[in-house]
Amino acid sequence: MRKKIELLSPAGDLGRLKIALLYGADAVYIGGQNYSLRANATNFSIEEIKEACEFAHHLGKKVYQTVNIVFHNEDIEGIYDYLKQAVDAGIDAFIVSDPFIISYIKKNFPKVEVHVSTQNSTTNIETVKFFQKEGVNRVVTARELSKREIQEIIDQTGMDIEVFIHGAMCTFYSGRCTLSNYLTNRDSNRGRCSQVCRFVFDIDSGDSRKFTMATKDLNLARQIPDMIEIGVASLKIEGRMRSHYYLATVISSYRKIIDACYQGTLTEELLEQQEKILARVANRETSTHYFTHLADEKDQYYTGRQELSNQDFLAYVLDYDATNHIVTISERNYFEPNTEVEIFMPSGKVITFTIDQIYDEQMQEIEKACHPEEILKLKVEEFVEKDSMMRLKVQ
Amino acid sequence: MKYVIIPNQVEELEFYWQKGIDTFFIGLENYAINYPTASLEEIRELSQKYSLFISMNKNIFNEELADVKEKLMELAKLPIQGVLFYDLGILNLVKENQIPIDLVWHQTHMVTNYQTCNYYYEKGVKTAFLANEITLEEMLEIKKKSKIKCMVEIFGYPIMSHSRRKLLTNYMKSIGKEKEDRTYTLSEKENQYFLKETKDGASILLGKLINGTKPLFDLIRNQMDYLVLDMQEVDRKIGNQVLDTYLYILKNIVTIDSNNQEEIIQQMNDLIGNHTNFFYRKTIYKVKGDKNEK
Repeated sequence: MRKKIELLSPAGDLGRLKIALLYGADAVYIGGQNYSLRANATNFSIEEIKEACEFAHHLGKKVYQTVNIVFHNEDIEGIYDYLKQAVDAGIDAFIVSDPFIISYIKKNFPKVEVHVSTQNSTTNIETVKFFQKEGVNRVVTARELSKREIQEIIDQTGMDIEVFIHGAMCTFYSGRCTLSNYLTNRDSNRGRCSQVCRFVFDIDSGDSRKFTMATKDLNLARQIPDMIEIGVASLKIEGRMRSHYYLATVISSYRKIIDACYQGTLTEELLEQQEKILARVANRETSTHYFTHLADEKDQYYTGRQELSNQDFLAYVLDYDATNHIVTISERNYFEPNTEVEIFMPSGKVITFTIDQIYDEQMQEIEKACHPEEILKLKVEEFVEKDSMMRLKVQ
Repeated sequence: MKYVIIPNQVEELEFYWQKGIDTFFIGLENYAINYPTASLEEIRELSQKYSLFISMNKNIFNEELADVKEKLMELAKLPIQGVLFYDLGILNLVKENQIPIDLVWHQTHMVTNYQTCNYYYEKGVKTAFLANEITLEEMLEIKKKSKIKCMVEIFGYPIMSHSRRKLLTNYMKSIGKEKEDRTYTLSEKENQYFLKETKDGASILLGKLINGTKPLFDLIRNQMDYLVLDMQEVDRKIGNQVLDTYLYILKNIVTIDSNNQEEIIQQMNDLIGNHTNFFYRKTIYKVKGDKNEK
């Protein structure tokens, strides 16, 4: 019998890691201070990696560390100590792209799993077999693959396959783009991608309209039953630089969909509701891209940036006084009495209500909440879990 | 040590052969990205006269594997120098089926360090085409610290990125026009880039020629194995002048003094501009706040 599919979340720092795990991720992937493809994320010190592993393992969950840069000569020195510290801190797996590091880890740290990053753009059965012989435990397939192609790989190799299901997409094959190097002198294959694929260009097309190549984001919420059916091992969310609120929302939605699949309770209504929730935290339009079709003109943007932002996230729950039914929150976005809101909790529970009065920290009533990070209090009859989040009601 | 030419078209091999170049890169049709291509039959014929490396540098998909295996087995029967591969599936097919063919590791932007070169060498890959995005110093260190033979591009428009997406077709559809069968030019600020599309997707090239004249002297003196001139999209007259100069340098490297050297470099700067790509320029990459942040 197959293991239950894993929900894998990004975590840019310790706070985000805890949120991701509390809201239902089975594992998280993080970057250390070096060798990671998200150099702009805060990333983890060794002490933080240790704390992260202890936190995750206490919950029966896992932590994977990215070591997925394309190495240059200067990166080689010091790699042993770097990996050793992470292993000692309790890391469950390294996510790598440069093949030499696979054999290096297998030789020096044989108990730690090795996962091949999507940076390697693995697109076929033979490549997976190559990695299998190298002792790799899991391959993250290229985002250019269809359901059928992924299924063929699983069926013919038996390898654990991890698939991206949500978040931003690269326009180009991962590892096969150095636009950032050439246009901004930042090394895309060593974590400094400056997202040149979202720039706007002139083109000699005889038309004054600008050329862009930016893609819509990925959203495979509706394809989760397919993923389970074909035997995907892990579902990966993109975005180590995403906010706490984004992670909580996305993880919570996918958790609900996955659990409903296994419980036989997945309905169209549930899917639609979760899609609405996911749409509210998206800052771009989404598509299913290659998983369902050969990506085409509908999967791109052509008129420059069309990025959205919203102020749905109203507050972070710090505490709940069950005796007096008072929830203590840290404000994030403006709200006032009579606002219809919902609080969604790490357990998946959601409560909906209309805000009556708003109080400051000393329980003095105030007219509105308009200072981010301000500590406020609300009366809420139902129990509210710590680390819950309050948002505008999703209609 | 020798020059290798990537011609603009396969038909140009004879022209370069007459100039004294005997080794070329061409692509196998349906399996090459950013190379002039030829069919297996054409390669069979061309390989009788010219020394050829055959590029199969596309990302391979499951449905292509059987044909890729067949093509590799056919190529192995020909007197070619080797096959340039991007996808590790090709390496696996060659090893699993014991196909007697030499492979060149050609993962474009990822051939960047001596350890990985050594890793592939131990897998039986004896040659690596180094990335265009590393410095001359890094190239020479790779040459020194690995057993693998190295190839370095010293002239041409460098490829920057490749997508499976039909970026041109998609854009043209969005503005209600038909895509023409040509290379398009993108521009941003003062810079220009070339955008090409084939059935396998779209590639973007830098619109500036790599001028490898200055590093060429060091590459030759350090016995770099193959020096690659990519003539694709290059004005024929300019390409010839560059090749003539580079042939002169190779032939006279021992007698060229520092004054001559500077003079030649200046002449080439005047001809093709002074873009030395990443030969003398390191990219920024370290983690924010790290002591090594550049």
